[in-house]
Amino acid sequence: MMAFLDPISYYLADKIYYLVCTAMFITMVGLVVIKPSRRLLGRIWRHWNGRVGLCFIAAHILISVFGPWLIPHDPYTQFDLGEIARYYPPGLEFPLGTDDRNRDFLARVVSGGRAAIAVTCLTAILAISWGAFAGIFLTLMPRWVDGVVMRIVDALISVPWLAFLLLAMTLFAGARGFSFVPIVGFFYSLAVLRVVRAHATTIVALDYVTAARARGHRISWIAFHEVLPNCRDVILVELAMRWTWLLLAFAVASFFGLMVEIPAPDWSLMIASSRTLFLSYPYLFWPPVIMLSTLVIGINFTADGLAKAIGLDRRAADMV
Amino acid sequence: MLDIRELSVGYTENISGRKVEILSRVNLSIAGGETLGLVGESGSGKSTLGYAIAGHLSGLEIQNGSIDTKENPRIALVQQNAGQALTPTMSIGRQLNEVLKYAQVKNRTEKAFELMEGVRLPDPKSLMKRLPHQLSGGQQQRVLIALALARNPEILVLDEPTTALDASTKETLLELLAALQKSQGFAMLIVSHDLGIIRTACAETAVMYAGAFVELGNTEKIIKGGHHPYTRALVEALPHIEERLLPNAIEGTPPKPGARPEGCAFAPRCLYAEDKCRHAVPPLAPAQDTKVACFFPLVDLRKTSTAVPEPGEGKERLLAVNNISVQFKQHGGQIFKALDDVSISLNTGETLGIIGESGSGKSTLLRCLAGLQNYSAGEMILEGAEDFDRPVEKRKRATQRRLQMVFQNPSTALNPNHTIERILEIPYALYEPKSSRSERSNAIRRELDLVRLTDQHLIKRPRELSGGELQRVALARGLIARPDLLLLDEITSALDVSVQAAVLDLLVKIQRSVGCAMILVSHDIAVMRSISHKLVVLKNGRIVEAGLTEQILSHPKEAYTQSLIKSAKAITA
Amino acid sequence: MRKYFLAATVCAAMISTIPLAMAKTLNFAHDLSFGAESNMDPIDGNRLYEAIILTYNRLVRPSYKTEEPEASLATSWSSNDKADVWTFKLRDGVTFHDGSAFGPEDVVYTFKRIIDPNTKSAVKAVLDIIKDVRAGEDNSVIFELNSSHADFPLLLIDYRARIIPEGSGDTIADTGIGTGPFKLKTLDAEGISEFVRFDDYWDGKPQLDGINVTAIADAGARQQALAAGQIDLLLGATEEQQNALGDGFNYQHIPSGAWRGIVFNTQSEEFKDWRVRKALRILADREQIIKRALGENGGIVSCDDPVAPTDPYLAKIDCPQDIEGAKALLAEAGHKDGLDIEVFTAPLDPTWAPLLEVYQAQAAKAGVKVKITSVPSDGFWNDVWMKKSATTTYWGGRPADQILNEAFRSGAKWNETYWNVPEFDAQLDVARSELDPEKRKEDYRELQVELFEKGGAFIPFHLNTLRVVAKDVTIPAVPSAALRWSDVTKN
Repeated sequence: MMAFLDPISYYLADKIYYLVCTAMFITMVGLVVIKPSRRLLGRIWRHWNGRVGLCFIAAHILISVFGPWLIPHDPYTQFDLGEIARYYPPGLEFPLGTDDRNRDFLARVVSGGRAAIAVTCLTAILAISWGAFAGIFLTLMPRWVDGVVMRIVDALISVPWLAFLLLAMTLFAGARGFSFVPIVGFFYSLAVLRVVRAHATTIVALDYVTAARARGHRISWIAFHEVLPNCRDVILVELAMRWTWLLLAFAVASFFGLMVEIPAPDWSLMIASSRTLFLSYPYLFWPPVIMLSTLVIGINFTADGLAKAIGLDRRAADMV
Repeated sequence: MLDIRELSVGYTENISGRKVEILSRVNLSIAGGETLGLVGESGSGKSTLGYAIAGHLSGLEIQNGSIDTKENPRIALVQQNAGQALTPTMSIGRQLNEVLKYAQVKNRTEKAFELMEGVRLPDPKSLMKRLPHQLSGGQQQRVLIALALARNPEILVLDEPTTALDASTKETLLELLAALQKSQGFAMLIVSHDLGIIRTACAETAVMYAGAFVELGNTEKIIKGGHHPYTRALVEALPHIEERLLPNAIEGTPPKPGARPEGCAFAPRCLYAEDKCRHAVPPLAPAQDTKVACFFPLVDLRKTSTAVPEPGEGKERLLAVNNISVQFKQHGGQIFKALDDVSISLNTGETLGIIGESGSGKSTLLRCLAGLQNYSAGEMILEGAEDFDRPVEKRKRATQRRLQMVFQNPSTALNPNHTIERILEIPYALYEPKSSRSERSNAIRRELDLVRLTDQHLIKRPRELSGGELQRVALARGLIARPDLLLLDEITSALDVSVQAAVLDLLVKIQRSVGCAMILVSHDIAVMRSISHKLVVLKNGRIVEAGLTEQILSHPKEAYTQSLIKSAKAITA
Repeated sequence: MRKYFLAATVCAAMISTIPLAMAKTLNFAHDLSFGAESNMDPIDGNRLYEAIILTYNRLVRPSYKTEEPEASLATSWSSNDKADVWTFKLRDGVTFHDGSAFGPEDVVYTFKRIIDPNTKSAVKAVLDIIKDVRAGEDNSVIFELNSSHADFPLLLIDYRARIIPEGSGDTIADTGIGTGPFKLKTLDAEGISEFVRFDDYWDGKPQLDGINVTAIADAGARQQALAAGQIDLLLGATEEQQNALGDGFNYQHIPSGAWRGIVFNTQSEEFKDWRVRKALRILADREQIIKRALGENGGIVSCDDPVAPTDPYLAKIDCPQDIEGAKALLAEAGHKDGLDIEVFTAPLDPTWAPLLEVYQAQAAKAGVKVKITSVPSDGFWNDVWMKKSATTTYWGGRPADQILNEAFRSGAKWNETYWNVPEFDAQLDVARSELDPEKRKEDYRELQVELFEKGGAFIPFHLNTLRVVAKDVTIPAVPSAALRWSDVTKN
């Protein structure tokens, strides 16, 4: 029943989510096993916020990888439970009770981050890759090109992405979730572009870039081989940081009912619908709030710890 | 005024808890009005000592001994690299005002003017309003000294005060310091790797090696006839301004803190070391006219420097630059001529030296040759290349290959993310795209061998190498293309004298074996004298004098050249 | 931001209601939906609804039990045979709040103001049928209609058709002078508006000393204010709020006549077969939809009938869930292996998403896969509703004749199902001019049965309004538009 109820985009999100989770899980194991990265993890662990961040992320990965196995119900079934048509109280069968459609709330909480994680992860990667490439290439272009592009970027950065998202949603009513990726990805990449460009400017001024130019390398070669590797730290931190902000952006869009299609579970949607319930049914309100905030805080703190571990100051980056 | 007893400074390793000494058992005392010079290679601990005296330990701990001063001493520190020591977003006036406020001075504006005049800064009124980057390097250094003098210090510690300054600026700065000391009576501690300025400014000198004093005494005596083998090697590593001689390098590198040998720290590099040296640490004891920490102090004075061969006759013409000019449009539309009607020529296998102060256009000329800078008039001809007058990206690969460039600072000229192997492979793969793996690896090994590095350097990254090693890698990167012309931009000025000597030696040997021509840009006349065949003197973008090096340096015709040589002589050995 | 506003309004409410609570003053809240623009003009778009129901009367008002007209400022009425000229006898001895006497000239002025071509009020569309209004003999007014309308008095029940003094059109927005049980003391749309008892009220002296209407924009804050005793009733609440407030209050479930549903375009390729439309409607378990989407007592089952449950013309239809019947109909229509449909909605209305979620699960049992596509609220009414073949919809309560004409007559602007049946239109005309009440009732019943059999609107329920009342307040359990405020008491 569940499979065909999924809107196509959500079905895709589900697959990507599993990819992301598996990748994160493998990365996590890899980080612990491979020596240099273990050293990096150790350095992140040394800062208290890095420690909190890593713990939160690890908890999230464990919950999302193993959670669905441990819960007997799927998040879509509306149970017929005799007299009680909805809001079945917590108990053995439903540890967090049932929600307003009598669905197992725990199952929904456990799978409520999928769309958000999948979509924002894709968006973050898109935003970072194209923001970073554009930022690096700009520094290698003639100065007037840089000037013109940066003014355009300045202008675009002041445009609210939500307006564009709304427009796209209306134009392509079916596309939804994944129109978030190119649109928000584009707007977030502008901020990335600025940060990476600022860093790349200092790299391009260094003699090894001049040396590569004097040898006769093409600009694209220089961008990839000389500049990009030296912006890696900045890009890594940007990725982690933008991801948290994208999660928040997704939550905003989702809260307004623009992202995940009902009846798919989503933390932000759950919060939106249960925000009036937090006195009468606190157990329906707090779990998605805690899940969403721990994920955001987890990634954010890890980014913080990462930045400190590789000696970058995150305050330099600006928020969209 | 200052009395240091058995001072050891170091840090405790994080995991093992092992204590690592950077300074070990240093004894020192200075009285008011005296000047002490601290010399040594980088890593010898001389800066650490200077900072420890000024009270800046930043993460280090005093493990032994003490620094005794009178109560509440006023000690001021002038940091290395004036450009970075000043707050870039604050006007000079505000920075002075802030320090004076901290020193609780009442008439701050007046005092600020007084200080600015004291360090002989012209037009203090307008300078006060400017930001640090709007000042020249020499001016920045003076502002820094003015800031240090604001508290009427009793002891002034100067860390490498003259690096990045031209010879003539150096000279005036040292004069200024002497005058200030005379009027204010503070004690001075000058930390430098430059024996020249130590000789000019300090009556007493301490030679440091591996965190300890190896010789202490009268500066003239130490330079003319030091008794410690290290002192002697350091002096011999200096290029000679009077004769065309190649300086002697000191083989090997100084030991790192925590990896110092058991006995005398210099023993592994010492030509005269015996068994005893390897087991016991020699104390600093009076020997003849200085104090020396050596079991076998040297007595006789002999020179071991070697002469440099002149290039043979009958070389073919390689490069001709005819009347080129480079113009920049400045803020406000004024035209600034970086190069004005400059012509040079060079035969194969020759070395051309270009000398001039900063801003003379010598780097611009190199950039023109490298195709990184457009020029507005004139022509450049490289024999056998039709596209040499174009920017580098429009030149043919074969032309690009014939000309390679080596930069001043090896730590920024090598990509920190690449291994040494990758750094050397990149140009080879660029110019020999069809080469096989083994050909590449052979070429890399051949070049490593040429610059006297070994296979074990290949997997390392730049940060794991010393400055001298890095510059050798940079040279190898240029040489692997087998260029006809090597452009060398101040390649020794960021290096210790001992390393500089080794690099100069290497250049001469490379030229003999590979046969390429070189253009060497430098502000150091002594360096020029030791390796260049021809010399061009540049000033404000124009050629002042050009000809054979020996001829110009022995019989300079122009007044500017004469003054350059004079101020260079004034501050070198 | 909202938090501070909430705190501020609660504080404001707290400070200013304490001294007045001593007298028998009733407090309730409005949601500030028109902001500072709110005024006392009953036909203005920014009227403060919670205030105009206190200060004015209509000619006729709904009875407490049904939507049938009952005497108010008019005591009796009659029409000619064609039902296109109506005479209303007015009540004697009624005075306005300012002491002036009420008479036919006030009624004529009020309705001329409504049907004036320059009037922008939406109520004009309802009362456009009036051609002329004039004073008759013996304290009466005569309405001449453009066409026959047997239920013309029903139209005068409209909550906006309230009588104001002659010539007060320019000042009424501020003065609020009417004949109602309470008169305006101070108007502060963003704070507290105070009303005091009108001692000379024609329907007997009001029980309360006064009423304060406070602006509290946030639903949560209104709930808190009620729990704290700062207000005495919530005019509209949710089941969740009821659960949170607990047993300390009385709860009234009042049929509102408003409905929510899914409309299928009867002219579209997918839904032009009536069997498909009927199958999509009878597969629903309407009781369950109410319980699961709205909560217990959240609504009253409707068998795809737009006519309100309190309306005298409501047809009695039975519509239990019939999965097998739905499957059979679908098979007949050529969808043996099930059917895929896509329903468009928006986050405009809080009941749409729950309704669709429950409907989706029920439809699955009959082999119908429902894809729910939500679009941003902004573009919904203009770009999606009546453009896509299946969308959600909502309607406020209207008299039977009005809703059937507005939503199901061919060519009507809001005929959202594109229901185009000439016989249906003809019967609407017949019913409207039929003077025999029983026959008229039968005419309307047939229309509703026809809609249940073949129509395109899935109307699972009519909403109930949940009113929460403090224990010391008695208030008749009738819609606020029918409520007689002089009957409300507080101990």
